[in-house]
Amino acid sequence: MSKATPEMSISAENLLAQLKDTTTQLTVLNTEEVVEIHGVIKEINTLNGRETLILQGGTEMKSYIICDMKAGQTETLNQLHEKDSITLKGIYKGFLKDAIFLNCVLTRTHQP
Amino acid sequence: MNKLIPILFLVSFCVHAQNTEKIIARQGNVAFFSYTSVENIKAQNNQVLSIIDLSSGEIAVNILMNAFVFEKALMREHFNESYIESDIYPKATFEGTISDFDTSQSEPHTRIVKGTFTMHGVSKTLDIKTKIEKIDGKYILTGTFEAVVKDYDIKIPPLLAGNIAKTISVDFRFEYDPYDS
Repeated sequence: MSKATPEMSISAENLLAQLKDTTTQLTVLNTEEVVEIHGVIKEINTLNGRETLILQGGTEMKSYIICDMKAGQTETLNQLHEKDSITLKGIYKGFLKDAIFLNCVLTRTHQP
Repeated sequence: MNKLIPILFLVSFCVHAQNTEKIIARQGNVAFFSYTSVENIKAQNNQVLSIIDLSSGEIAVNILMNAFVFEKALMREHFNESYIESDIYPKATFEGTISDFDTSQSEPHTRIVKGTFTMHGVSKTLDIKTKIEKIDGKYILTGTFEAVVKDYDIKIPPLLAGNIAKTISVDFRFEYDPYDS
């Protein structure tokens, strides 16, 4: 995953806006595509024994980007905090209330 | 105008009350197990969506079938491409009601959740025994049910029939937060 070339690079806010828009949601991206996303961390959790990073979707947005992290990134994740800006790559699985990504890897952090 | 103020207040209160009566699990866990003498297959999905309306006890669950994680890549490939056909049937859903749901009950208790489970384009009515807990103000629902593979029109090639159980055991765990819709 860390070497995979993303099909697109997009902000969390823009991606969710397009996925929620019925006119663009079917064309914005396909499942199983690798996407690079820039966004602000809403939450980091280990629910169900999985390391998960949730990105904010924007001030008016009630949807988020949920990234199930690829194993082996615990040390990096431990250094991150809510509201940090990051960039990650993951495999898009679909959209329910939120956009779901698996096998996510951090590619950049933009901590203040 | 003066008469409108209490009405507007009431409408606003009702909208607010309606919103706070729903709870959401965005990272629900659903795991399934297939045990045979040839091999055991286990897969987990940790991004299952569920919403409960606390006022009515209605519950909805939405599962992305291609988000199940397997131990082996080949198992995942067979599951998505040959059995579940997740490109044609990307989601499984459950819509039902928690029988005798009582929000005032704070001790762990068990209820039957009755509803319709749809997978691979086939809908079946299920009664699922579900444990309901309220921990630190959060509802947690856990349980197990069994799904008969042939009921859902899932075709297993004869060569692999011995590798897949005829009945799959499904475990679930949902931890809910208030739903700000």
